[in-house]
Amino acid sequence: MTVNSRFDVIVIGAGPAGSRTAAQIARSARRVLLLEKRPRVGYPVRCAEAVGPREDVERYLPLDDRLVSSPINGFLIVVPDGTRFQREMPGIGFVVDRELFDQRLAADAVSAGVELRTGHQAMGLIREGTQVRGARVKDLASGSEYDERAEVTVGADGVESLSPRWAGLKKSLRPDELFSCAEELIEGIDLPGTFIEFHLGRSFAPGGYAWVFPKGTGRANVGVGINPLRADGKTAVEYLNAFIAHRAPGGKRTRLVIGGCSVARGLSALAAGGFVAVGEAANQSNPFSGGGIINALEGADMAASAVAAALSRGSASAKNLGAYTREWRRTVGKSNDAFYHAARIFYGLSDEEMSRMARELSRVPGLFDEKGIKPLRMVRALVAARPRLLIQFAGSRLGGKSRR
Amino acid sequence: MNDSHDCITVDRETCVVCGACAAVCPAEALVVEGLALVVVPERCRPCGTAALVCPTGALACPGGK
Repeated sequence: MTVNSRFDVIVIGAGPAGSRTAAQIARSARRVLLLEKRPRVGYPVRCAEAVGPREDVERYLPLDDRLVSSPINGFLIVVPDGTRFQREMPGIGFVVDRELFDQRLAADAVSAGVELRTGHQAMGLIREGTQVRGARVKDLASGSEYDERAEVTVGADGVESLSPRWAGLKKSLRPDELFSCAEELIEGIDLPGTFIEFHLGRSFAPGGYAWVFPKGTGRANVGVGINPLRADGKTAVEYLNAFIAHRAPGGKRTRLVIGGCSVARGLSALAAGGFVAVGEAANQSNPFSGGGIINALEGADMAASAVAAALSRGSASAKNLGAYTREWRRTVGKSNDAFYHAARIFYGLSDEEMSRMARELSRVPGLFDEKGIKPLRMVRALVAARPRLLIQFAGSRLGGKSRR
Repeated sequence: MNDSHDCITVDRETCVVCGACAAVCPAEALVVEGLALVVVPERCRPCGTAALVCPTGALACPGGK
């Protein structure tokens, strides 16, 4: 047992994963410290800001007019040959104000009794053998460092996370495990309703996609996410400029957002002795779309539950905390796997194959449910349309046992 | 350990500290500290991976990688 520590749990990172994990653990009567290296929660935004249906989001946070920039009532996919596939799906999702969204989640954590320190960054983990016992923390304003001990440390430090690497759960991402992204909030763009748009093709977004996510009347987040290995020597910003010239030529750029977006496969182990990883830091984002807000919140609840149970049993061993890994793998982990395999096939297609495949997919019944694309159904349809893909798919499944 | 002192360089005007480089650096030679990007030269191999992923093209790797 850790004596004289002021906290039972330290959470590294006050994004959606960290704030939610902290809040839920605090609600099981534990003392929680939440560390955020930036001076302000939620700023700067590094996201395209889309979330799923109301009932999914409101498990974690009530949505109101200030949080919601725009409803999403359908989607439009434009394939490389210019063919458009459009479908109305009322209430499929929302585009939110991520800065306010994150601040609300952090405020909820504080109201649950969590101590939030902004401008404080974990610089390493404190270990006793294989057991993590807290973190070495730096107060960035003063430069002074201090040890903060706790039974459990939670790594929720996002795409550039180091804490899961320190805990031995993760290696650095390969370049093809992230989308290199650039986005502008454009004022003065033609929007055909409140559709979320995905534009595919090597000229706009090699190995990824370009997007238009509505943010209100005549405004939208317009962005690109590219596979750095297929970028042909051009940066995401250069691809963004080309896409804006195509899609919103008269628009005014009002907010540049830049970042790396994880499309890596979920970690095979989410827990070590005294440590768990949550959110993008744990590769829990969707490997097909890069979306990760609700994934982070789902992971947070599972992590919090396992951490609280382990603390009640008086042992934050890797075995006890491993219940979180098992729960994640049993539930969300399955669709993470399916999206990962679908992405490997889909983003490997040439422009011509992609256009042809989209036509095939549009004829598949039941490909979509009220929540979006059913990933396994999409994979089966892709494979049925093109038997050679079966070999790639089998290869990626067999070779795909996580190295991590 | 890097004896040759070859190291990735950062154009501070172009870098917006997004952290994509830190995500892929195998050596923890690039670290986001607060709102700043910190380079740790003795850890840099250099391998060229970070320069490949930077969305703004702010990174340059010696040896033309």
